[in-house]
Amino acid sequence: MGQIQLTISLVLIGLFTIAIIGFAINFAIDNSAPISLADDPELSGLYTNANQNLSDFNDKTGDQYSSIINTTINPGSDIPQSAAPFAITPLSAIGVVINIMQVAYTKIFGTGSGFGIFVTAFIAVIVFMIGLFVYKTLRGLPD
Amino acid sequence: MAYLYNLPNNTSGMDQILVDTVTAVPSFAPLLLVFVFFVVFLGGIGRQKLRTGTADYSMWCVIASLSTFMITLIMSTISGIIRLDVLVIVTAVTIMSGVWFFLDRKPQEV
Repeated sequence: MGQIQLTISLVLIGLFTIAIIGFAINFAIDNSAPISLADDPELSGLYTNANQNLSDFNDKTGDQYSSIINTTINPGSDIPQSAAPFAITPLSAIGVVINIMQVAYTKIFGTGSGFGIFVTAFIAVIVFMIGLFVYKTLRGLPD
Repeated sequence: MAYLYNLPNNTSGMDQILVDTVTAVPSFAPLLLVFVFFVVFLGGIGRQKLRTGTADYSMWCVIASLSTFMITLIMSTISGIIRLDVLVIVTAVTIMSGVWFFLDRKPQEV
């Protein structure tokens, strides 16, 4: 899994979550359902937060795109002058997955579960993977 | 003949039978959803393994979760069949399976 695929995966996770929660809320509204996902404050909050995270991703994409196309490489060097093009993945897209994982985990296992290390370790693994991708790409090492 | 529960009132419509059943046995709805999930999940994995030799576990988990999710939404239109926390847990499982699916793609796949 390369950096492009990882970034797209993170964004698609956010879009998938928004689609699921949005569909459930509007399904309940359209059918006047007595049980509605909108009555759960945490999932409604996740819906709003995921929307905001992806909006931030959209805003930063424009800036980072100009940084990407303006990146120069000196003759004889495989290393870009700036790591700015990579900032878009860890700073914006990762926030979507962290919010999603925390809320989904809490809803399934509860807040008092001793298994909480699962979500902590999972988020740490994703952050570690992204950091390693940036380092290896800057050094010109293969995935 | 004495029953341990009140018999469903069959003259009030099919949905009332479900509501009366859930009233007598509250775990009926969650276990029905678990049954649907595993029928799709294990059935899909089994058939794909028979046909191709390998199975895409994360994809079948997403399909099973979405199937369960849709049935849960339909059940939520009638008061008394499922509770809000069941709907929330099904939604959370669907989201988690989506996370697994999107992070499980192989390099040659999108």
